[in-house]
Amino acid sequence: MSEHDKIRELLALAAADALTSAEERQVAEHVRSCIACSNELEAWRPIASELRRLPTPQPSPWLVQATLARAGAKLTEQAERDWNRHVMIVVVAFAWLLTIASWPVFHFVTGRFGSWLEPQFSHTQFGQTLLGRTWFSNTWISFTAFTALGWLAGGVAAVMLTIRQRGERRLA
Amino acid sequence: MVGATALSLEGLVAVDADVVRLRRGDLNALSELITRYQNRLYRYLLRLVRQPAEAEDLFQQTWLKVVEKIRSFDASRNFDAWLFTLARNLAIDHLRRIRPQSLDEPLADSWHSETVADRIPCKDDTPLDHALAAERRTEMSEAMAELPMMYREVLTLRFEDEMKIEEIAQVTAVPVSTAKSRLRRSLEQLRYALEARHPGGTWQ
Amino acid sequence: MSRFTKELRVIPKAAWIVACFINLCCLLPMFLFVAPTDPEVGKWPHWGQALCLGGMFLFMGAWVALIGYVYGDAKRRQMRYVMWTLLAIFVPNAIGMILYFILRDPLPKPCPGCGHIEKAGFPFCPRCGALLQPTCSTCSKAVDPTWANCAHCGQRLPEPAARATQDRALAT
Repeated sequence: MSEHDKIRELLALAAADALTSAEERQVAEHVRSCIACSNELEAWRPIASELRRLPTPQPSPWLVQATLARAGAKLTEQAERDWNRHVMIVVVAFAWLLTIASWPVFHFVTGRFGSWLEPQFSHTQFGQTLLGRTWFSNTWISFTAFTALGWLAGGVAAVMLTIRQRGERRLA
Repeated sequence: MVGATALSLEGLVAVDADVVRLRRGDLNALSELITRYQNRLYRYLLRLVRQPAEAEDLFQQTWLKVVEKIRSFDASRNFDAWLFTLARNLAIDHLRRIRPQSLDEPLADSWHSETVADRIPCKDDTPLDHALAAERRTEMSEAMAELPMMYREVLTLRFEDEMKIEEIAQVTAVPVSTAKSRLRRSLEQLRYALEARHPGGTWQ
Repeated sequence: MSRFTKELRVIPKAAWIVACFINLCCLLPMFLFVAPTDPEVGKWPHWGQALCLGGMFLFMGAWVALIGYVYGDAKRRQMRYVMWTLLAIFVPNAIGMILYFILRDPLPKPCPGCGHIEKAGFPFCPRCGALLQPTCSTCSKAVDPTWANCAHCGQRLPEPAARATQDRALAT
């Protein structure tokens, strides 16, 4: 393809300002000497300018508000869900810490008051030595009993609430 | 008029700030973004689907998608291009479902149903200029509406949104060279259609 | 105001007062009288004892604050706040609190017409009858905007473009 043909192809894009600076220089140079291309370029200009001046169609006046209502509801719902997830993580961590922290508390308490119970629950009665260690002291019994009780109570409460919740949702 | 062409530098900076706030769930940021893009986005969708009611519905759906995907949007990318890409995909899916043939062919009557009152008038000098301009405008709109969707799209992005070719290539998901040749061919076909109405002369 | 500080305001003042009271009434006496005499803890340096007790009572403060939060939050969400507060207190290992956070209702929004706050999820305001959510034209139940048919009665819902009147009502 000759240079003239190449430039002809670029003329429409030149009117659209869609050329690289190198291409623009090429076109400008060629147009200075070639009348046909110069006329062609001038023929493109009114089309380009009219396209630029096309009036902007207007949407309905309430479109922005309606969109904001719906998208905004979704946004707040998502933000809520993320926040809830963070809260959940913190509360679960807290629950675990509470469980673990209750063990030294029990140890502390039974250490001080365990002596009252000594006659009934002596180590020898429960804690037969296993490999030379006493596994069942009243402290450990308290730990496990408390933790197990907690999980059991939680499980029962969860089941009861879920049943109630499902019943309510069905009626609604 | 709010946001009729591509954003200035300060506009872009404001958009970036809004996007950051939007990711944190700020409703005001959402409101500002919607207002800032209302004309451009609606105009783009209208050029694609050519039905005002559908364009409005797609407008709402686009913003719902934005809210859904804002978390996974890399804030350093161009929000403009991303928004228009989302809108484009929704519009194409919509057209494929409702009127698959309209993706390529002209649509008969819908364009003319827009009343003059719906449009924002341009500044013109004299009443005669005004009348001629109105006529030119109508001709231009009609000719453009009859082009295939791909051509309408690239024309509106280049001339009405004043997007750079690289951005247009990004939004339409084609290489820059394809976008350029599409723009050229769309201009040629548009000119052909316009000059067909005034045989024997160039369109003025 | 960050989300966290906003949520902190839900905790009633009484909860903060109880937390301070417990800390003062238990922390100081324990530190001054009990800890030094305990067989194990007494051997620790003073700052170690203070740290240990301080940690325990920070926990206690956080626990009371969480219970207060459950009370305040359940109240503003129009849930059965007495039941939930009791669950949060008495189900051990903070499992009651975890259950609350999983099962709580969404935040109710005030009616745009009269400002009345009713439990979330109802499509009409019980005081002024204003429309709160998009509804089905036949059975008037709340419908999701993305549905093609009403999930309650099967009625075909209007095309999105024709939903203009409802959208307008909700947007104002």
